[in-house]
Amino acid sequence: MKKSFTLTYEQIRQKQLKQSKILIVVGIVLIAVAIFGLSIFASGQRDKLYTRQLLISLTQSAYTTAINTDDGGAKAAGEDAKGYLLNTVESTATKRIALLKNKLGETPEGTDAGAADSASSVNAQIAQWNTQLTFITDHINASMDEAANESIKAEITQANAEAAKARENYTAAATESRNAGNKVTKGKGKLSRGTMTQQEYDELVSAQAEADRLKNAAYEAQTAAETRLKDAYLSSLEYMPRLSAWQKLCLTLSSAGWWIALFVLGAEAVVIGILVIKKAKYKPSSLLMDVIIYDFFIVLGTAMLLPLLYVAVGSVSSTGLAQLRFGKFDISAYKMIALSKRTLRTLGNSFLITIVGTLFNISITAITAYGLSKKDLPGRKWMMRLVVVFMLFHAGLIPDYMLVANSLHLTNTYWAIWLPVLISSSNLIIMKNFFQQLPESIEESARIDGCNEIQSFIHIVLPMSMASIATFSLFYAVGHWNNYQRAMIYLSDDKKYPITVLLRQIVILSQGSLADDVQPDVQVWAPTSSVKYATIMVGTIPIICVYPFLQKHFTKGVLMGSVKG
Amino acid sequence: MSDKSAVIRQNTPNPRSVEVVAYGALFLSAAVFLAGLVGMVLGGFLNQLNAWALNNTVSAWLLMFVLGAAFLAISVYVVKTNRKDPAKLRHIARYRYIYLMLIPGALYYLIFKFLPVLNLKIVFQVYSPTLQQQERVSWQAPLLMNFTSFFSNVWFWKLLRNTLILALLNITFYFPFPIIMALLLNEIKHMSFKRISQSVLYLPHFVSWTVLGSLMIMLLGPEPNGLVNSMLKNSGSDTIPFMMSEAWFRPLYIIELIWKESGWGTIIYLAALSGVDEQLYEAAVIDGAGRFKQLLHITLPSILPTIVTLLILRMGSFLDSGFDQIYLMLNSSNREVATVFDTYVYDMGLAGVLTSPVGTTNYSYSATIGVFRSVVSLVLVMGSNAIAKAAGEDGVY
Repeated sequence: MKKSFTLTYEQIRQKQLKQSKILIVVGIVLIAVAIFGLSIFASGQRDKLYTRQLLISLTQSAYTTAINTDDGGAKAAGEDAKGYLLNTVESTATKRIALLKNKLGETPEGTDAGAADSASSVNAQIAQWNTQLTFITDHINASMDEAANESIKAEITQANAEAAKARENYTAAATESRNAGNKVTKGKGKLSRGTMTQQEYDELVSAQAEADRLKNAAYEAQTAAETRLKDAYLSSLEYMPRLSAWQKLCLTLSSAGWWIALFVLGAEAVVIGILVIKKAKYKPSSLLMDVIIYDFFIVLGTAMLLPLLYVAVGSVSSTGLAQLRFGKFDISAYKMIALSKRTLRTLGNSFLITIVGTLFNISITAITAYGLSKKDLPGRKWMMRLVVVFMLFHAGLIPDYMLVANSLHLTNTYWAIWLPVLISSSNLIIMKNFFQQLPESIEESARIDGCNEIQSFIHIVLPMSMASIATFSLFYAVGHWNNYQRAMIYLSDDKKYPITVLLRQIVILSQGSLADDVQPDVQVWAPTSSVKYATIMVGTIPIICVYPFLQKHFTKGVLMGSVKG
Repeated sequence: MSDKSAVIRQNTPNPRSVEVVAYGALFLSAAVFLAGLVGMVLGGFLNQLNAWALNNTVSAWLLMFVLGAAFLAISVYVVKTNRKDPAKLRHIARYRYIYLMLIPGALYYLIFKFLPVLNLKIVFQVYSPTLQQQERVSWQAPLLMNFTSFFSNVWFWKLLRNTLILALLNITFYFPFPIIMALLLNEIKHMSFKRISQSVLYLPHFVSWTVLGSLMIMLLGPEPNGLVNSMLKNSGSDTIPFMMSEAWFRPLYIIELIWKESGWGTIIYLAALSGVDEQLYEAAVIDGAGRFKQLLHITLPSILPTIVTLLILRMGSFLDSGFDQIYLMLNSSNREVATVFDTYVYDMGLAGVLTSPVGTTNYSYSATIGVFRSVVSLVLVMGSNAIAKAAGEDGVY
C-alpha cells in the first residue's frame, strides 16, 4: 500500500516537472520582455524630458551670451526679459540678427579687403545666431507638441508668422531707408559738385524721411508682433508639461536603467541555470512561481545590500562618491581613522560594553531561565507571571532614570548601560522553554550520581545548550553594540562614549571631529564624506563579523521550537 | 524508585535544622525590615521632607525595607509551613540550589523593574531635579493635575495622532512583510539559495539605528553628498528634501523599518514553519492541491498561532515607536509629525537635565506621559489577548 502511494506521488512529480520546463521558458521570456519594455519606456520618457532640459540649458547659455555682450540693445533686452528665458532668447536673438544685418548693410560698399572680411565675419555671426535661433525655436516647438492646447499653438504659429512678416517688412523698410540715406549722401556730393539740382536733392531727402518713417513704423509693428509672440509663448509655457513624480522617477532610473536590466537578466540567467542544472528536483507545481519567488529575493536582497555596498565603496573612494564620481581608490579615510584617537577609543568602548555586557546578560539569563524551567518548582507560576507583567508594563524612561541616576548613582559608568537591561524578558521566556525541552532523564541520573542542580547545570545542561547560548549571546551583543539611547542618557564623559554616539555627532549632526580634545596640535579633523563612510563601516563591521561565527548555532538555537510563553 | 527517594531523603535537610535556619533568617530579615522602616521615616523626617520622598538616603533605606519585607515574608512562610506541612517544605528544600540560582534574576526584577514602579509616585507630585531640595517634592494640588494638564495640552493630540499613525502604518505595512517573506522563503527548496538569501536579509538587523540614520543622510540627504538628490540634480529634476520634509517622514520611517527588521522578523515564522508536517503537503498534492492552495490551506494556518502571538505582543508596544529611530530622524523641519511619546518624554524630562543643569525639565510631567503610554499599552495587550482567546486562539499568557 505504502509503496504504491510513493509511486503515485513520484509519477505526479515527474509529470509536473515536464510541464514546468515549458513554464520556465515562458516565464523567462515574459520577464525579459517586461524588463526591456520598462527600460525602453524609461528611456523614452528620459529623452522627452531631456529635450526640455536641453532647451532650458541652451536658453540659459544663449541668455548669458546675450547679457555678456557689449551690445547695449541686446543687453538691455536680456536684462529686460530675465524672468522669461525662453522668450528672451527668442527676442534677443532676433534683435541681434537684425542688428547684425544692419551692420552688414552699413558696411561701406567700397571694395577693400578689410571690409569684405568684416562683412563675412558678420555674416558668419548671423548664420550662427540663426542656427541657434532655429534650434531653440525647434525645441520650443517640440515642447509645444506637449502642450495640449491647440489654440495656443495656433496662436503662436500665427504670431510667429506675423512676427516674421513684420521682421521682413522691417528689414525691407530698413534697406529702403538705408538706400535712401545712401542716395542722400551721394546726392550731397553731386549737389556740391553741381551735377544735381537742389530740387532733386530735396526730393531725395524727403524720400529718405519717408523711408525712415516707414522703417520706424515697421519697427513698431515688428516690436508689437514680437510682444504678441512673446505673450503667446508665455501662455504656452503654462501648458508645457510639468514633470510628474513618475516622470522624475523615470528620469532618475533611466540613466541606470539599462544597467539594472542587464543585472537583473544576469541574475535571472543564474537562477534559471541553477534550476535547470539541479533539474528542479522538488515539488514543481509551478516553476513560474519559483522564478517569481527567486526574483523577489534577488531584488530584495539587492535592495538590502545596496546601501551598505554604497558606503563600502564610498569609504575607499577619493571623492567620497560626491556627484556619483568614484575618483581614485584611496584608503586614506581608514588611515585617518587609525590615527584618530577618538574613533579608536569609542570603538574600544563599544567592544568593552558589548563583551562585558553580553557576558553579564547571558550568564544571568541562563541561570534564571534554568531555574524557571523546573516544572514543579514551588512558586514558579508566580515568578513567571511577574516576568510577563514586567515584560508588558514598563514604568517608563523617567522612573528608570531616577533609579539609575538619583538612587543608584550609576550615571557615567558602564553599569548604567549593563544593569538596566540585564535580562530581556522575552529572551528569558524563550530560553526557559528551550531548557524545558531537554530530556529530564539525564539530569535525573546526574542527581542520583550525587550532582546538585548547580553542578548538573554547569556540566550537563550548558554543554547541551550551546546553540541556544550562542544565539542569545548574539541577540544581546547586537543590542549592546547598537545601543544609542542609554549611552546618550547615562554617559556624559566624552571619553566613555561608544561608537554610536560618535557616529551621530559626525555624520547626522555633521559636527564634532575625529580629533581628541587632547590633541590640539592636529589641524582640524573635520571629517570628509569618505571618512564618514569609513566610520560607518568601522562601526558596523565588527558586529557583522560576529554573525557568521554564531550562524551555524543560530538556526538550531532559534528553531528550538515554541516561541510562546 | 526506592533508590531515588532515598537519595532525595539524603539530599534534603531534616525539619529541625530547617526550623533553626528559618528562625535565624526570620529575625535577621525582621531586623533589616525594621531598620529600613526606621531609616526611611527618620531620613524623611530629618530632611524635613515628605516621608515618601525619593531622596538618596531614603532610597537606600527603601531598598532595605523592600528586601527586608521580602525576606521576612519568605521566613514567615518557611516557619509556618514547617509546622503545618513539613513534606511540602522538603519539596521546596529540594530546590534550594535552584532558588539560589534565581536570586540574581529576582534581584534584577526587584531593583530594575519593580523599584521604578515605586518611583511612579512622582506623577502625583511636583518633582523636578532643578528645584531646590525643599521645593523639589510636593504633592500636586489636585492630585491628577499632571494628567489633566497633559490631556489639555495641544501636544497631547499631536503626539497621539503621530504615534497612532505610525503604529497603524507599522501594523499595515511592516507587520505583514516578514510573514510574506517567510512564506516565500519556505517555498524555496534550493538550500544554498535559501541560506544566502536569509543571511543577506538578516544583515540589516546588525546595523544600528545610528548607522542607518547616517546611511539615510548619505543616500537621501541634500546634494552633493546625497546619492538620490545627486542623481535627481544630474538628470535635471528638482531635488527632494527627504530628511527635512514632513511628507516624507512617515514613508521613510516604514521603509527604514522594513529594511532593517523585516528579514530578522522572518526567523520566528520560519521556526514555526519548520514544525509543519511534510505529510500534510504530500496528502494535499495527492488531493490535487496546487502550490498556492497548499500555501493557503496548510502553511498559513500552521503559523497562524505565531502570527496571533506576535500581533498581541505588537499591541503591547503599540504606542512604542522606537526611540532611537525616531530621535535620529528628528529635526526642526519634521518636528510636527515626527514627535512621538518616546521622544517627547525624553525632551520634556531628560533633555534639559542632560544639556544644561538649569534646563527646563519636568520629571513629573514626562513621567505622567510615560505612565499614560504604559497603561494604554497594557490595556491594548490585555484586550487583544482576550479577543484572541475568545476567537479560539491561544493567548500570550
